[in-house]
Amino acid sequence: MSEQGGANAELVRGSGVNQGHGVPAGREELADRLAARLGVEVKVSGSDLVVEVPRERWVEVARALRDDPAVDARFFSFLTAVDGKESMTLVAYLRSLSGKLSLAMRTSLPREAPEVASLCGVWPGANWHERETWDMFGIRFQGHPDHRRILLWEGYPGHPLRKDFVDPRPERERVGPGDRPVLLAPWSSTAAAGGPAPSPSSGAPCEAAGGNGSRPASQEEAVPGAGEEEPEILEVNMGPQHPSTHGVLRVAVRFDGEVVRSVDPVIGYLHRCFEKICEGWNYAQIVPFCDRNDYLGAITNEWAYCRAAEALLGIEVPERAEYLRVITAELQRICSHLLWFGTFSLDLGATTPFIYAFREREMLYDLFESLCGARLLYGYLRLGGVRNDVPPGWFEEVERYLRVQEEKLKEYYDLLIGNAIFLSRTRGIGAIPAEDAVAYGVSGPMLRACGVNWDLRRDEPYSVYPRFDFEVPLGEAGDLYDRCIVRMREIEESIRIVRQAIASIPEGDVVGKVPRALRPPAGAEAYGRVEGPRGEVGCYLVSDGSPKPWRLKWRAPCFSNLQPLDLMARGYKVADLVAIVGSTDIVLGEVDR
Amino acid sequence: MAVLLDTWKAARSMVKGLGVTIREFFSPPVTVQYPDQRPRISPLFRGHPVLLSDETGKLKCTACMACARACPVDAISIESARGEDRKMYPRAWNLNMGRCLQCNLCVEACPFDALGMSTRFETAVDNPEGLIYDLETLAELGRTQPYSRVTVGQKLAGAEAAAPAAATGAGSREAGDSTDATRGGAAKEGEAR
Amino acid sequence: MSIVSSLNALVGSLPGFWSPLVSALIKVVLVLAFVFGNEIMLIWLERKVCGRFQRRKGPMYVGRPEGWLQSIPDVVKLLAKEDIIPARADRWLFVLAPMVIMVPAVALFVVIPFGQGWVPRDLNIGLLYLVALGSFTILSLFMAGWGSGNKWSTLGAMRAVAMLLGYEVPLALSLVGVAMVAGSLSLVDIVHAQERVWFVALQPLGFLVFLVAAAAELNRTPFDLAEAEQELVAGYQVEYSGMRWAMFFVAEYASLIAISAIAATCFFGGWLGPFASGPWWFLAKLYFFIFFFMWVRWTFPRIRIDHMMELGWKFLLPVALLNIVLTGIGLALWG
Repeated sequence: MSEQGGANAELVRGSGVNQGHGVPAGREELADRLAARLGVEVKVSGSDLVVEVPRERWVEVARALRDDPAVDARFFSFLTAVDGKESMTLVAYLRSLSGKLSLAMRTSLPREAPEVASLCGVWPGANWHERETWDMFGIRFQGHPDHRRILLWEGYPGHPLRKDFVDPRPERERVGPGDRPVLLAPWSSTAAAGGPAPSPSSGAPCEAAGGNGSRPASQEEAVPGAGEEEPEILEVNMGPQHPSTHGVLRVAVRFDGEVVRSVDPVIGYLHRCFEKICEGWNYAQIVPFCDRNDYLGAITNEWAYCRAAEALLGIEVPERAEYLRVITAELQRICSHLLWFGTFSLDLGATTPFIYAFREREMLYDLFESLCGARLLYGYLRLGGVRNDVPPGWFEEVERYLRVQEEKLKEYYDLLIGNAIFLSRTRGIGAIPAEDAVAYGVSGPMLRACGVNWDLRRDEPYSVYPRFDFEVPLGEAGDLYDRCIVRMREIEESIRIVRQAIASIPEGDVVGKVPRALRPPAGAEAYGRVEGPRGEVGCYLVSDGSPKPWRLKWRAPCFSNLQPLDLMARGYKVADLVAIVGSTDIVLGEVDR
Repeated sequence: MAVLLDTWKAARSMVKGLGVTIREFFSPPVTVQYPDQRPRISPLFRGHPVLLSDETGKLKCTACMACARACPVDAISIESARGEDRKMYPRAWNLNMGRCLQCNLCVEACPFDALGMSTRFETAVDNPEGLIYDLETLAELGRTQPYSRVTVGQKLAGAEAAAPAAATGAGSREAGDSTDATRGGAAKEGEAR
Repeated sequence: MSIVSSLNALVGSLPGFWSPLVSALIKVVLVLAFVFGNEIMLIWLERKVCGRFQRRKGPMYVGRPEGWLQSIPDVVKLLAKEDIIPARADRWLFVLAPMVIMVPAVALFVVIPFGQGWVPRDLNIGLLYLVALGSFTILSLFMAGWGSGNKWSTLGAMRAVAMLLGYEVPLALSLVGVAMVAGSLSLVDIVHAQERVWFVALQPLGFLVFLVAAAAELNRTPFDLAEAEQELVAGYQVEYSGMRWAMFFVAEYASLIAISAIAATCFFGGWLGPFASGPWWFLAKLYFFIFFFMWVRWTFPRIRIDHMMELGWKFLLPVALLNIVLTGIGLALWG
């Protein structure tokens, strides 16, 4: 354990993950030019740039990277920290959509009382990521408008992802032979040890500093009829038990009569400390757990992790395995969009399309079941490839399903999407301007519905996607209707990709050479990302040379997609709010991890 | 004029929607009336691990602990002992179904083909202690339930697509053996030593 | 019908004071039996029909083979629930509201002709009576919402009242066209006036307006805003549980039957048929309309409140008025 992740880490050349497609021309020159212009160290890692920034210049360099036309880093992907034994590293991943460039900003912070300026003024999307970093690491962000914990509750003892964190819960015990099983102690006993009873986001904000268009972070909840609320503005909780929030999400809505004035999503109800737990598993054991983040997009989750881990470990994936990954990922995309279609129609009051969508999903479940034995959480990918090859006759069954699905798509259009009531409830509602979407790090169909032409499969190509001919559907207005149409067209495009892949899949092995000992070089990092059904799913891995990752950060598209909910919902009616939340296609497992 | 056109389009979209539902109304239901009807389960379905025995009825497991180490959630707990023939065998082998996530990593890790993944899915109990399966239960299930053994890199033979054989004492066909897994140079997925 | 005439003769033979009383009692019992019998069946039927639209089977176990006894455990469950009256509720309003909503739901059937002579009471102001009673439900909803003592119930009820008022007017106006063509407000006369051609052919606009307005009056999807306020908070029904809630539920289904009966009578010829006219034709048309409303419910999404108000006031009302004008012109030209 001599070298840990941190500012002292050496980057392994080629660990930026863009296997097989080479480093785009001009990266080295760009890196040198930037280094000269900004006076900071800029390295090239794979096809990504890494900018080492001194702490006091954090916001200044960020702004320069955003505003420099050669870089144009307007897309805020994520921000997180890595706790080394001696110092903490703050990492922010940005993206330039025009330049198809991904870059990381890093700075080093002291482990005791770490503080840095907030990036909220540069990218509004930094808001939630900084809250999460405060929650998990205890890093204070000066100038943050809403400095509260986001996944855990105020009063939680400690910051869990720090390496010196002590778990307040009792030690788990294994089941021994003949012993009675020991169940975990009920929470109340540990709450007494740890802090006040959980109530997410209660309490005053830590630093409600102004200066960045701060929003009021009021926590009062108006009990109906209690007589405490202001005469005009009423605050209501939508959730966490609510039929329409697609998971355990609480949305604190303040509205004035019928009109929504502000919306504050409160998350963390499904937080399962995935990132912390992964620090206790070896690289092979993590794969089945990636399913559980976005449980409706299991394959793409596993793929994001596998890309990162394979880059760290230097594992090559055979072609046939790449094709199988593409086929299953696209089938997964269809599956996920079908579910979105069904639940969205439920939000609007039509129960029947939900059942129809699930009838087709049942066929997909059967396909996956005959391939890998599971219906929802597949555990199909392995480091170096996939678990097993397809059973005989599987491709023919896939083709049979695709033909059925194409017919049924027409049915969905006739039943719901062309319906006048549906149009009146989705057209012109819940739009988000394209620049805001980019600044918040919104990705996937939500971003494309705003007209931003960005899809990782085409613009940062990975695996064998360049061999396939497919279109990326775009919307115009970014409203609910466009999001719906984009997702429906993506189903059609996925069908095309699957057909092409099945037609041209080569013979061969389905898993590559995997070393017996899975120990990446110490200090190696990788950020593996794929285009999932909800957007850019990414896994940022830092290794310390041991068989277990030092840090695993999950870049969840829904976390970024849910952030601008306030922007999307303000000014609309109460009944629209449910539809807007539904259109973000969030999966709380991913938002909360 | 535009109003009339909009009205006409709206009315037409309504009628189309009604047409879709009435067509589905006259189509046969897709319900599988469980438990009167049994659902069609793929032979590769990942139910839970079971212990496999050889032709003489002796368990193949040598208590090497590879599966317990591979399991990410510590669902497997093994106590090993040395038998009279100087070979290791498991004195106790417990599976906590409350923890098991049916990920198949244990089956893949086993170097002795001693574990299979049963297709049994009706594992609900009304008492959490019923979730702990002990050695005798798992061995018995391994003898009677259909199971599959899929390891990493496996090319599946044709038998998987067939319905599982009747669950008799002879056990069911295996979905390939471990020799397949070494094809293509894939080492066993495993933990670092 | 010989049954009717023999019953009439039997009752007529009673001494003068008793005759009308017994007659009325028998009619009341028959109407209630019809309504509640259909109720029980409709609860089951709705679930089966909903299932079939969704390619599934609906209730199957209680009363095999098709779960036809399902309504019995439903009713038992509702009866067994705890009767809760919120502390802040206005007790009288809260308790009376479900009773008030039951009255029009059942009383509507007084003037509906099931067949030749099969009408409890042929009022010569039948249509007016129907429209007047239909407005009663609005009162009950408001009593429920206000009496619950819950701000959200009140808001939900106010919304429901606004919606229902907005659709009462087109509903009434669409029936005006029917009255004009038939020359009478009596439902029996209206049926007789359809002996040559059903009014749906003479009053297509009126029929469409009636269908849409009726769907709104029934609080069924696509107009089920009053109930589906579970989007945020449930509506006027939120504080009701057990049998009290069941009364609202029962009244909704009874209105469904009543509206379907009105549609069958006023536009589709009542008990008349191309051959062998009789109550069976009426029942067939009644169930056809019930099925139609279920079909609509399980097909469409929910419409938003402001679009709904626009639809009612800015579309249905002018169309209904236009229908009256056209009917007047038609009558003047062709008698």
